[in-house]
Amino acid sequence: MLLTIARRLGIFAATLVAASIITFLLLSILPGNAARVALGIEATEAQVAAQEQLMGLDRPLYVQYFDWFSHLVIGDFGTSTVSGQEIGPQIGDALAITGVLVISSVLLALLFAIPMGILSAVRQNKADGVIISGISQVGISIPGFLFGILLVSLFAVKLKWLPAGGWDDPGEDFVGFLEHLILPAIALGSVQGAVLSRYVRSSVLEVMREDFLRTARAKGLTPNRALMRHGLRNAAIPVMTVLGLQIASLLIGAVVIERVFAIPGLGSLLLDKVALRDLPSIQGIVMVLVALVLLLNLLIDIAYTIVDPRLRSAS
Amino acid sequence: MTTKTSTPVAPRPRKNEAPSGNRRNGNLIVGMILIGLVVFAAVLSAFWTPFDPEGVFPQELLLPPGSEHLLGTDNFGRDVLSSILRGAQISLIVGIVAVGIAAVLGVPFGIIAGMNPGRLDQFMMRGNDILLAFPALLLAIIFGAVFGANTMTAMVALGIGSAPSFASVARSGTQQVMSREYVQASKASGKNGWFVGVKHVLPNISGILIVQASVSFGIAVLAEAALSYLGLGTTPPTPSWGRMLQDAQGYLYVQPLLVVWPGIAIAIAVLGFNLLGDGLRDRLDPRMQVKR
Amino acid sequence: MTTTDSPIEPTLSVRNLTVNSAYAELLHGISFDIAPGERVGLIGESGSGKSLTATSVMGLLPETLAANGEIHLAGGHDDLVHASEAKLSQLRGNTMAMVFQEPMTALNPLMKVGAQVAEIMTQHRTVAAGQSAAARAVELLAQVKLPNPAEAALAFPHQLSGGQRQRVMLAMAMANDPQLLLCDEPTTALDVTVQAEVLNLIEGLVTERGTSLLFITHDIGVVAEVCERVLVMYKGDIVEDGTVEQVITNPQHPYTKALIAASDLSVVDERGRLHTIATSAITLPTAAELASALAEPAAAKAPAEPAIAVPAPARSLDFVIPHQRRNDPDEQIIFNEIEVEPLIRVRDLTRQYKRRGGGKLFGKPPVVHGLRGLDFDVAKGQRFGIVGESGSGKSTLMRLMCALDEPTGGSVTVAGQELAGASERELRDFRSQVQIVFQDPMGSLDPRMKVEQIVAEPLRGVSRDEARERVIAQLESVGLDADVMHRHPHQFSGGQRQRISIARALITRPRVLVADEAVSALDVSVRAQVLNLLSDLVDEYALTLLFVSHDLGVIRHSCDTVAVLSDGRIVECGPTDDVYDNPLHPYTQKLVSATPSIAELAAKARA
Repeated sequence: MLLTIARRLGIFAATLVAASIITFLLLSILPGNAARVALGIEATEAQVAAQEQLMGLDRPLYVQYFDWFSHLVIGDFGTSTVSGQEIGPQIGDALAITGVLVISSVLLALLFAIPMGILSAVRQNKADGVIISGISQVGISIPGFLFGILLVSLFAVKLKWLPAGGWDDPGEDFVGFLEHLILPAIALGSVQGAVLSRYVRSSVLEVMREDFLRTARAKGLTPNRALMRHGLRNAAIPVMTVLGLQIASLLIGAVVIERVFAIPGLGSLLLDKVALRDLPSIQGIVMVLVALVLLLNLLIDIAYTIVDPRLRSAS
Repeated sequence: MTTKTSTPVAPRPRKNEAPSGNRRNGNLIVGMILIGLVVFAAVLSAFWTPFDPEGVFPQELLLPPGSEHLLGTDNFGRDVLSSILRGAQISLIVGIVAVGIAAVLGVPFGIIAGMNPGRLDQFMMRGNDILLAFPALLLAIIFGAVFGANTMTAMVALGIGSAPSFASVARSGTQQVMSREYVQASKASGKNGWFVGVKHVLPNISGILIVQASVSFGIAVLAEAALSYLGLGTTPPTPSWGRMLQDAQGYLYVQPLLVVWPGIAIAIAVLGFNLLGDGLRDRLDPRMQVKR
Repeated sequence: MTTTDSPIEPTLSVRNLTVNSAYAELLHGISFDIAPGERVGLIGESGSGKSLTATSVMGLLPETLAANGEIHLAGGHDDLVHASEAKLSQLRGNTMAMVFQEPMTALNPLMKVGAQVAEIMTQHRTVAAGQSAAARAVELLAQVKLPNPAEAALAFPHQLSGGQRQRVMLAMAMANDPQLLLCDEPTTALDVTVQAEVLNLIEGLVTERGTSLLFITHDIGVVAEVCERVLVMYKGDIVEDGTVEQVITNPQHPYTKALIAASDLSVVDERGRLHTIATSAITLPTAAELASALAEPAAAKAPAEPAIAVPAPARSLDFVIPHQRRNDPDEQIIFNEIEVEPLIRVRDLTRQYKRRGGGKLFGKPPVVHGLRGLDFDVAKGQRFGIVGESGSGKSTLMRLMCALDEPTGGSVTVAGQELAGASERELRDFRSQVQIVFQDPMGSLDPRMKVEQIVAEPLRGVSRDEARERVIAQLESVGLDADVMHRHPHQFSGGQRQRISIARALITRPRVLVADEAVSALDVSVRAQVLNLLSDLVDEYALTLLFVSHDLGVIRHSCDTVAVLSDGRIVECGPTDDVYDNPLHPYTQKLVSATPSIAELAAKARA
């Protein structure tokens, strides 16, 4: 088992490196010389050339890459060519905020998806099952940010119960923090929850057809008991596969939601830096996002091996 | 089956399939109707819209729905209904191109991986995993940053970002087909990889690929809306539902209805494709049952 | 029809059980009783309704089906058909228990075996939860003769073999000493030798505890092994009900007669062909005739003449086939050695597989599907059977002989072409000379292709029109109309699909036909038809036949020579009748004794 984990870690590291190369290459094509951007439009050729040398932009590409990457792994994201500030701390602050948003959304999504999914599967042919299924259908057709805007329109503009945007530090104003967290978390979480519930539903439906559930009933377990004791754990496995992908899309969905609610998280940071053409910052943020996605997938992979004994002895 | 003459690989819903009144086909029918609405809007708006979507009426800003402007006007005085109709074009085009690119890239990749288990497969799947680390929207943002943000970059980025799922689906379908005895029989008749891949694998995975295409189409429409909302997608003056939402958000206190119309349009389009995908998926299942 | 009017309450009493789907009536009001301790077999082909009967008794019908009638269990319980789910749950696993067909999927893969056995007891509170239940579970596993029961209890299902899992299922079913045990084809998915052991086990368990048994199967031989009484079902009706001896030696109903005739592959008609349901020259009765036949009192009937076993006419080969056995595992023997130009020559054929990680905990060691240096020949025109159980290597051998796989050592020469290490170009001729008919009628035809394309596929360098002509001719030769060409496989039955497979195999006029379990997936009645067809075609086209199977009866009928494969080696080889009547090697003896023929059973029954 340890061997499996070691292997997965290795794959994780290799994929991370490969992704970093892609990121670096993509962004180094950025038109609009970074040096020129730093100096402004008025700069002369000579000044730009000097700046390039200063920034190390005249070195061969792979040297630049290694320099960047080797700093990255020790946590040094470099300095922004636009603001002159260190990128690392900026990303750190933003990450904390996005992290809170994402975690609350995931929890909400699971809270929503699991019961809905199971119910719509078990009551598949009955009215309430169909209705729940219908709701989730509509749910996945609405973009998260749209739902966010609608929520703002109702709760902030019309009812004035909650703020329309912004963010409070939980350390400073906990209640304010919660108030600012609710709507975006619901927006993000419920849409993702709808998507997840469909996977839960189809997985439970599959499991309900399995022979071992029939065996359980032949042993005298009622259908509900049989599903709960034998079915759910088995149904969880395919859902876990999807969960990894879903969390990745949740992360990106957060980027958009932050724009809706003006939350100073990683997403807003990224979009701002893109607008400013702040190349090193963009690289750093993208790498963090990619690393998060890969890390989550790694954790899910490992959880997989724990849950399913069939994966343990083989390979 | 209707063959689309315009784009090569774009999968299209089979409109001349006779529904059998089964509940399973309910999804299919509703899906097709909704998509039909969108297509109708797109086609219609190429010839006629109530008003010019880009034409402004400075005297008539932010009007609620009325007899002249059925859905009202926006903050520039543009007719909302016309913008919505014209916006359908962008959504469909982005969907078609993105799914097309994804399929053309992903499907052969997946089939080759599925037909060559072992080293080649492992290698290709690693590549797929690396690409999967970049969710489609993220790619689109990066592309937008690098190449400039417009519809074209969005489509290409979304296409590349959706390719891994096509590859995965194609690969697992291929593996299933390869394990069947008729493939063994084909090999025993001396047929080579090309033959097996094209004549046996492709027709047998076409079903799941069409389902995947339907789902991806919906995702592409959502992604385009998000990008346009962020200002990284379709640029003005071309109407786009996502950008309409961005504009509308600024006027929530003044004319909240402006948010509703593009929202409904997006929901209809995506719902249509999702239902279609579901309906097709259900139809594939019973077909697999064979007489004993 | 009850066999006796006994005053003792029957364990199971079924009256007028009807099962309906939305479109049709699947069971037409059947009635029967099972006395306490009685072992009753339920025989039928697919579509007969036998499984439905058992699932109805257990109340496990899917929601799409509706049952009517009455089912009573001894002990004053209410009618089961209309009982509540709660009531049925109390009875299931407690008063009545069931073992299903597919052992591989019947257990929860995520739960330890011992826990699953313990669950049935804690569910009905027959044993206290925790330690006592766990201990009792181990005892039960020992009773079903699992090696290392304590370890087995802590294992997960995927670590056990099919036969072992089925034993676990039995342990679970018998845990609470039910009055009635239902078994739905419990051994069909198992190897012949394992089947014999499991059947023995079942019989032992139920006789020891006086449990009533309802045993469902399609195999008459199995019924004769385990049961005292048998019910024959056909298309949703019980058409015959009698003791095993009566039914086998003196079947009354035309369908039963036909079924027994078709099942018996050792009996052939004057032309040397097997009896099929169609050729038994019997018309199946109408409903009215059926009713009156069943209404007849079960009077003693005069025993009929025993069926005359006409041996298959000897196919002439101009040499004597030697009967050889392997005396020791590493012995170098060349089986069936042909001096002059054998069509197929196999020397030291080896195939090893690399297995990563450990194998099954309680099963066979890792490298199981290897072939360990086979040496044998096949002459032109010989009908060579290869018999073996799962893990014997027969599938591997088949694939190597068809160049669908590369050996790790040794050589295979077919019609002068060496297969080991040959390129696809070199094999071009070979490909048209050797063709295969596969086992699975569903999987061997591409569902997306039309029959014409499928049958024409092996042809090379032939114009479209000529291909079409040849397809039509070939389809006719297998007894199918030309317009079958335009349809898709799913529109045909299993037997018809096998015919299409055969047509495809013969279209290039091969010299060798390899049949890989070609009839194993077919119903008994259809099997006979397809075997007859194969026989005819092999004669007509002067083919050399290689028949790979696990079914001794099929090989005995179709082949003149048989090689017995065990664990990657040939252990015995010789003329089929000789090998079966006089098995020399212990493994062959075990195999033969585990598969009694109908004639033997009839003789045994009469004695």
